[in-house]
Amino acid sequence: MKNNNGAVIRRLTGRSLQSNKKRNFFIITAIALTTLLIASVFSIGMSLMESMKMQETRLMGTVAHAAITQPTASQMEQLNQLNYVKAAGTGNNVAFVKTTPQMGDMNLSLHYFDKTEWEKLRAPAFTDIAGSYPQKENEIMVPLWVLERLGIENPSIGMEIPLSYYTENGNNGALVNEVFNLSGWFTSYMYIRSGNIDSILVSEELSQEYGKTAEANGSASVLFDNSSRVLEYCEQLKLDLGLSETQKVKIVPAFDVDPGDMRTTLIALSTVIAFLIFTGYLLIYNVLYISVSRDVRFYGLLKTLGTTPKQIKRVVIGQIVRLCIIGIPIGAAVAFLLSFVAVPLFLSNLGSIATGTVVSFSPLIYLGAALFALFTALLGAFKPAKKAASISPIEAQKFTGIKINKSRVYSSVNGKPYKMAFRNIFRDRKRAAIVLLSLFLGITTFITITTLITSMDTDNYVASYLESDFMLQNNTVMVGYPEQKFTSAFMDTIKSLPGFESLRVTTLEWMRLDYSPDEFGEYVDDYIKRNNAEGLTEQNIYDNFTGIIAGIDREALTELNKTMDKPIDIDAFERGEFALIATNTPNLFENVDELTIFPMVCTSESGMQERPGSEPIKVPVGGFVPQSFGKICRSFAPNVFVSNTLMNAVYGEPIVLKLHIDVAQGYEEQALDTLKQITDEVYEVSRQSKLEAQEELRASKIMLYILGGGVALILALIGILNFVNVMSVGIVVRKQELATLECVGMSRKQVRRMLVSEGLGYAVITLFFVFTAGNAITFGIFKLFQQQATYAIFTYPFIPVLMASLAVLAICIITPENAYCSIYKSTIVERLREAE
Amino acid sequence: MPVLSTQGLKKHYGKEPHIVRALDGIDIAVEAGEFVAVVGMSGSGKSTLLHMLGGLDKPTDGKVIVDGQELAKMSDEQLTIFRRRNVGFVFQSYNLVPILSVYENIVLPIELDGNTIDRAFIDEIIDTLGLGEKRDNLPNMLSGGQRQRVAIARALATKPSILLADEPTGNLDTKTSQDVLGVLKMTSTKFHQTMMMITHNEQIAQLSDRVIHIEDGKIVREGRS
Amino acid sequence: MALAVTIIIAVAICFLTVLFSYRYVRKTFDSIDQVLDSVLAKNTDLPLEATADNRLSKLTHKAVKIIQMNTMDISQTRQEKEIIQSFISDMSHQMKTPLSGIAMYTDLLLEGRITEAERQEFLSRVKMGTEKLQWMMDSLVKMSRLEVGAIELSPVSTGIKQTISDSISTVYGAAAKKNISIQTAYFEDVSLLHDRKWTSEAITNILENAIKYSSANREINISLETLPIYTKISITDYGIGIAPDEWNSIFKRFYRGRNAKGVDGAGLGLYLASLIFHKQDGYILVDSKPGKYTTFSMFLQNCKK
Repeated sequence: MKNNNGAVIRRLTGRSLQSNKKRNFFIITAIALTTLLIASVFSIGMSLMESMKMQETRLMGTVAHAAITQPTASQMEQLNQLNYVKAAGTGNNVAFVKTTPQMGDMNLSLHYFDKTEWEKLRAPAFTDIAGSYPQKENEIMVPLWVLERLGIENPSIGMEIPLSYYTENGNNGALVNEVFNLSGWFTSYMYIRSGNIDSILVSEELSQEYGKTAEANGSASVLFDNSSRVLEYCEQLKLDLGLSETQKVKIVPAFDVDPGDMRTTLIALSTVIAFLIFTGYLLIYNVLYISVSRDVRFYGLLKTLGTTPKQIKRVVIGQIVRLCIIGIPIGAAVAFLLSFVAVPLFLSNLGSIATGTVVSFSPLIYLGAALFALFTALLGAFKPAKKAASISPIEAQKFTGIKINKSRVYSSVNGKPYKMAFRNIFRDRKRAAIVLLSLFLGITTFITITTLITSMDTDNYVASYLESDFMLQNNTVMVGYPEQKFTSAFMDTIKSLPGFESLRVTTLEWMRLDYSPDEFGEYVDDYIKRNNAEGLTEQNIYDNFTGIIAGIDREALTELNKTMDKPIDIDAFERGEFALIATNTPNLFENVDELTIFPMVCTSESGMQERPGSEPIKVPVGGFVPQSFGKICRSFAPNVFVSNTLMNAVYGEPIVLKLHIDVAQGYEEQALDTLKQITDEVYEVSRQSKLEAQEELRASKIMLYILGGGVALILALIGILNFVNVMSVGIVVRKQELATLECVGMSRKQVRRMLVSEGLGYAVITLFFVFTAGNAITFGIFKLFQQQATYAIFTYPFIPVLMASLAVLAICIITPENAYCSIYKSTIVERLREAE
Repeated sequence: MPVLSTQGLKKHYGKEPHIVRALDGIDIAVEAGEFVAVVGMSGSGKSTLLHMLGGLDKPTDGKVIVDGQELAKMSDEQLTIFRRRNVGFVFQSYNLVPILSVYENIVLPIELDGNTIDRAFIDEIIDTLGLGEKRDNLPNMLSGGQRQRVAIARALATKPSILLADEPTGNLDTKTSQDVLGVLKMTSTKFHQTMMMITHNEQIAQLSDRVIHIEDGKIVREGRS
Repeated sequence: MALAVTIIIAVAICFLTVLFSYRYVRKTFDSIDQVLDSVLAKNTDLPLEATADNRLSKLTHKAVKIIQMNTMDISQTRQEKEIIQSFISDMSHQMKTPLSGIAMYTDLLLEGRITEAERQEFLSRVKMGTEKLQWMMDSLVKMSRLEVGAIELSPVSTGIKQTISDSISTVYGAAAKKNISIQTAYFEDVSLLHDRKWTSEAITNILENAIKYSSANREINISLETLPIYTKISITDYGIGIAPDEWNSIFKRFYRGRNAKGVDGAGLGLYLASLIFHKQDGYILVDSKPGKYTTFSMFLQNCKK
């Protein structure tokens, strides 16, 4: 049975805390800063993940995992009873809206969702939902962006909106003109992905009026109970529901997240957290260690009186735990408040979130941060506690608070203050090492972060990923409803841009490759392995071996040729003598000498089909380009690149995917203005321009500067706190020694000079390491960074470094000065006596 | 049976040829209730002897037997617990815990062992030592003599069988010394404690039952008074 | 199914808890029993650890204490017996000298072949001897009663001034004989915890001693000083002094100082004085420089306000 002596240990713990207010301040600050930093890192990570996930669902316009086309009523009933189905709803198309010139380019339908579909599956993917789902026949609910196009800036419930619509597709059926009442609106994000395709929601009544049902015109959406087993469940569905030939199970395409990318992020995150823990640990450890060394008499006395080593450990650890109870909530609270500001800023500057960011306030963030901070604190307290516990009562009796390094014989100091100062710095080498390390880490981090940010050369960055001054892209293509947006008339407009210099065209069409296991076997195996698409029969593969064929200009290859070991014969390519396969693993295609290409066509109505009236062509394989070439998404068959000449020959008028436009220097702004006029209203066309990208990047660079600088500053602050603590404690402990020095005739001025030299010594040593090892580290990290961001150019941040150095010098001088002044208030005699 | 005894006790510091023989074969035996004064010049090894007897330090050779238990066989933890149950210390430099009040200092060893505080007994000690008014003060508010009386009270609080005093009046002026010493003697007699006191002052040694003279780590003279 | 498993687990946990609690309690009782057995057998060699930070160890430690207290009580009684025995032997030894003197002179007187002058001389010697015996008897009776606790001193809070002046008047005659003046420095009367009759006797003994070892025509100084706990009464004479190595011995029963050979005395006065002070929770210290001075400092507890 444990001894019942906890109360006195708790009291000793409490009193120790009370009598060490200054030290507590340092430790609480360290704990709070550590918590703050860790919580911030977690918060950014979690928010980023949540924002990405949310973006995914918002762009899909549904939270469902899969859809079943034309479900029957009995199938729905079955569906609702399957234990792996969390929710299932139906929806169907009711009519097609006739677009007016005012509405511009868009593709709207009237759509009906049942209750489950709307409430459980659709509404969560929308935001700013106002009003309610249409109940009456003449009620509608409209996406906000559509309302804007209709010229309605301030919608109100019940307002009248006239619409014309066809009851059947393809301008078939009757054209109906009707005035609807607005029952609600919402922000939808689907159109960003789909290229202005969206739906206006109508009531069940209207749907029934035109005899539209889910079975005939719609589909059922299904939400499974486990998002990681969607593929498996889809197969299961087919069996469980007994789907007919024509019914299909479509998986809602979710954006692929490269697991390798996740791993890098995870490693980066753990490194950052390990680093934060380490810096926090250094400070807490040092502050506690100094405090324990100062209190050697106290702990030795406790031991003499019968406090066991275990009890002493409990006293030290108990103190740190109590300080954690104060420090962690402070850090967490500041992190919480900060996350309102810093996290959205950070996320929006990461640039990948288009549908609005969410700030995560998951308790996991704060729990995690608290745990890590507690871990840091305990880690920092462990050794000092052990030291306190192992203090021998005899040593404590003799202890004067001054450790003298016996192993070294110094040369005479001749009473020179700076020589004594130097000796003082290394009197306790371990302590000196920790302070120097802490200061060094703080300042080096600061310099590294500043270097990385200043090195992000915007011009270079833009040039590295934008090949031309302007790039226009037809978004309908990638969504799967291709439409020729860049007509020859449009091209003419481009060519008449002010200062127009050159235009490059990328065309894109669909094709099926003639599959044979001998040729493509290796590739297909690899594909199946990567995509977990088991269970395909040879016939399946043959039928579905479709992909993208893209036409490019010679200029596109010129740039690429520079990086290739085996340059491509551009002239022959231009003549259409061979095709290029896009892959990162050319050896998978060792057996492919010639491609047999069946031209295909892809429409929104019937999907992919053989192109009517075209013959397959045979083209030899002339080489390989990287997978990411041309930034075109991939399908089952590998992407094939041919010259535009060949494309025109095979496909007649192939769809133009991208336009790369260059203008003469100095005309960029003018050209941009014109392009804005042409494209701003056209949602299916997206625009990238070097000018805009640079602007954007500059803004986000400033933000990164503030955020990164903030983190660096906090770390530097931890280092400086450590120094301030060591220096001021060191002087207070040496009170008596200093008084003795004065007694033997050292003038106050000399004492002061000695102390200031001591501080200066720390500064000089730290800066020496910062400018040698620190700069080497900075450069090394920059090199690593450059591998990720090739556009970075090493730029040394002279001004921030100068300022940081001056700040360190200033603090190293002011701290001893201050500490000395504070003990100077008493006379020599008093100080001598006080030492008892 | 002696309460406190040593057999061939040796404590050496350093190595040949710079060896320091702080204690060089000490044999003593102290009976229960006896008051022994150890007299010697500074550096004679008398403090080291006291440290050994209190289990604060480990001997190089020989045995220290207190209450029938051999201290050298105990671990650090055991020694600590042994101390708080059996030994009361009074040091030259008072060694009060600065963060605890007078009363808390006095009862600290009792609480460390989780025992119930015998309030009547503690009040009696506090009263005897004239500390009643200072009960709730912190040590830094007290004079040297008062601090030493607190230290004595603390040493008596657990009713230890052995009281070890290392120059208890070393930091006090003659008058206060006599005062404090009288208290120490009176209380230890009153509570039937065995006491060993180190001093270099012959006058102070008068109060003891026996005086042991130590020089260079050896007993040179021993006399009953 | 799940419920059944839960119940089974719960029952199992309860069972194990009860089992382990039972075993724990049984073990603890066994240990306590062992400790008590040792107490009964007065065996301090307990099988259990007395130096661990747990309750059983505390119990063991206290048991050892009880045994030790018991043995100490026994040895104390034995010691007291020894004191009385040594006292009796000391006493008989001390009485032998005056008794044999008396016997010798009485024999001489009875033989009758002596001159008148011799007869006067012998008679006065017999008288001196009987007086000495008388005085010794008185002292011994007092001592024996004090020492074995036959009479209890009853210290009460009374002014010390009267006590000191009582003593001075007792020795006044003796002092005047040697033309020694007793100087008392002025002091405020303080209430001290003491038994006036006995304390006065003790002070008288010290004063007599001082007069005895002082040369004629010197002074004896008395002063009083109040300290936080005690009040010190100092009596200084300027006589032969006492060497430091004797300081520890002079308060012993029948001890005669090396320098005191020529002086009359039984070695009882200082012993009695120190005994009286000890019985009142006070004490005596001596400080001296041979040939220069001797100071006896007597400490008595202040009264608590």
